[in-house]
Amino acid sequence: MSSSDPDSPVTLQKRVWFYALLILIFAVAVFLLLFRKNTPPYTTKDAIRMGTYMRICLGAEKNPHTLIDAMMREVTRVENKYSFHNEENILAEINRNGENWTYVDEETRFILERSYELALITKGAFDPALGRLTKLWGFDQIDKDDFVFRVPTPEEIETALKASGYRNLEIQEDTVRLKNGALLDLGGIVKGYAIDRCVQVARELDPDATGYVDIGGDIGIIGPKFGGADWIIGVQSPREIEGVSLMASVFMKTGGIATSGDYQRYYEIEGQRYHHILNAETGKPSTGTVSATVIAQNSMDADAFATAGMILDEDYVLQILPRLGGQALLIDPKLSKRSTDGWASFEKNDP
Amino acid sequence: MAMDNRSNFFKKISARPLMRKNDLLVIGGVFVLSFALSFLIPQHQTASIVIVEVDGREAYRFSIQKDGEYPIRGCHPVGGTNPVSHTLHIRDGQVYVEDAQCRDKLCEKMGKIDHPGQIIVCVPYKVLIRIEGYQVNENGASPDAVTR
Amino acid sequence: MENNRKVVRIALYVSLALAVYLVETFIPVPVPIPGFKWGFSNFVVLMSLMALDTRGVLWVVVLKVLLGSFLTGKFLSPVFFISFFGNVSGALAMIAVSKTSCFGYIGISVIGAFASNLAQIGICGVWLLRSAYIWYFFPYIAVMGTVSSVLNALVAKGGEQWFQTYQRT
Repeated sequence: MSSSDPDSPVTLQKRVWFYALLILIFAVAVFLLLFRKNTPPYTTKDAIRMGTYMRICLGAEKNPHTLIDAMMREVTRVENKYSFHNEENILAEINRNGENWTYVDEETRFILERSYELALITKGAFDPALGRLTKLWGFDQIDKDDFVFRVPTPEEIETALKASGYRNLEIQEDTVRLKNGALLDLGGIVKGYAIDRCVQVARELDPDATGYVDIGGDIGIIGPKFGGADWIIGVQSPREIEGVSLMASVFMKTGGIATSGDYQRYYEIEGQRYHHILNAETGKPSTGTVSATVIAQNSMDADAFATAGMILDEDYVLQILPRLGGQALLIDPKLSKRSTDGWASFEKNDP
Repeated sequence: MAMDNRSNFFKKISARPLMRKNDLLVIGGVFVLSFALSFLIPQHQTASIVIVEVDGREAYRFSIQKDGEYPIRGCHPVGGTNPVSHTLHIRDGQVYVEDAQCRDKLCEKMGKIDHPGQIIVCVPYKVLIRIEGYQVNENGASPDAVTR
Repeated sequence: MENNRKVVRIALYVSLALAVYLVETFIPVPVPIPGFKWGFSNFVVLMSLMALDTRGVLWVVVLKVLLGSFLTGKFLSPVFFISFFGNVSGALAMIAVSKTSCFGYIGISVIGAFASNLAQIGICGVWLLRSAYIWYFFPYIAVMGTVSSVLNALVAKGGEQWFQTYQRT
């Protein structure tokens, strides 16, 4: 056929057309490459909030700094409103009023109701009303220079326990109250809530925003990296081991992850460590698990589940958490890892 | 005509052996070139930087590859002065602080960091130490964030 | 050669390439670059270098890349651009080199893989990630490419016999 004869004019024309087409395809590809909408670069902001380090990593088409400002303001607002240290906020008011009913707004009602729920489903391992215990052990004073730590006596613990527990919290239509002198301390959940609010604010202002928010090691995802890839999140090793700083790595496109451990806030007396995760039954720091990391749909749940993960018996945690919507990684004092069945799927990177 | 094409075709195919002497040169050349290329990468792009922020602003910058001990001036909690509040140690690609002047010494307890995404923070003195850069470890890439 | 025969041959090579390409997406890749593949589907490019003229080879390469991206749903995604420019650069290099008689299958294949990898990293680093530290992976990728291109050469040479048989019928 004529196409094999190199000299015929028809062949030459065909050749020209072919190469022209090829060059056109190439040019189109280059054009598309150059002018395609690139995912916006990431802006990060580091700050100190809620008594710890926080970082926002945001990818937004327009005005990332405006979004970040809005998110930071929201974190400050939540911190002020629900901090145990603040003596003028709604939390302090509820605590002061004790058995008298206090009016609360929708947000507070939501948080308290959800906290009660989480306490119920974790069998009290997460408990929003352990304020007396927190004060007794002095974990609310841990940043202060003049505080001297000492181990409370069993009697003191007994007394504080009588005035603790989520069951003392009563919630009605728009009022709440605390019985038996219990005090609310939302420390186990407020970071998670702040993160969720932060993420919400970002998404409201820009539905296509991507990135993550990290407050004190609890991380909430705003959106997948570069629009579709996983964020790579390392799990800190609870103890210092030569050459190993991460116990695991997970890949997340959405949701929240939180870690509770005995290495974050603690006092040490005579070689004995007293950490800030208090067991609501014994009134003392939890024993056993040294680090619990939980992945859940939002950071509030992850925060509460992580606290519960430290306190509850290992087998029980591994069994119950997936049913509650969380996947966990537990590390025991010997640094062995155990995880729920669904955890392994987060350790795989699917591009 | 068809026969000619076919025999040309066969001639073309069998004229090319699997390997010629030059092929070994090619493979060797590829290895040499690719390793040479890796040394051309500007070092500061792949090495990590230790950044120290005081009160929200970058105050110090060190290369994680230069071992050393550096005094850090944080913001005194009561305000007014900037005394030396920590000693920053960089050794063997790890970063940690000692001689912290704060009460709780949580920053010292944070241990040694070596990956981007990890943080040492001293809240009372408003000091924040982080690592920037891109590292590869056994898992493939350094994490974007670390949950702790 | 007859147009029909040419078209059939191109179709055959492209479908072979696509089959291998789809399977190789499941083979784990030791570098954390998105969309990076071993490149085992390139043996058909080698075969077409021997069995087709320049235009035929380019047809095979372009069709292989376009159809591959349609099938994996990655048309016009970052992965597509890496793949497109990588494959085309590799093919152009191989076409140029095959005009001489200096190299055997292995030589051509390795040169093609190297050119392809260079283009892939270049596109990735310069346009997609805008960073220079992606080059850190280049030695690993070059080694991977050499390994897979040698294997491709072996397959292509082996397949040569098979195609000779096919031609007779």
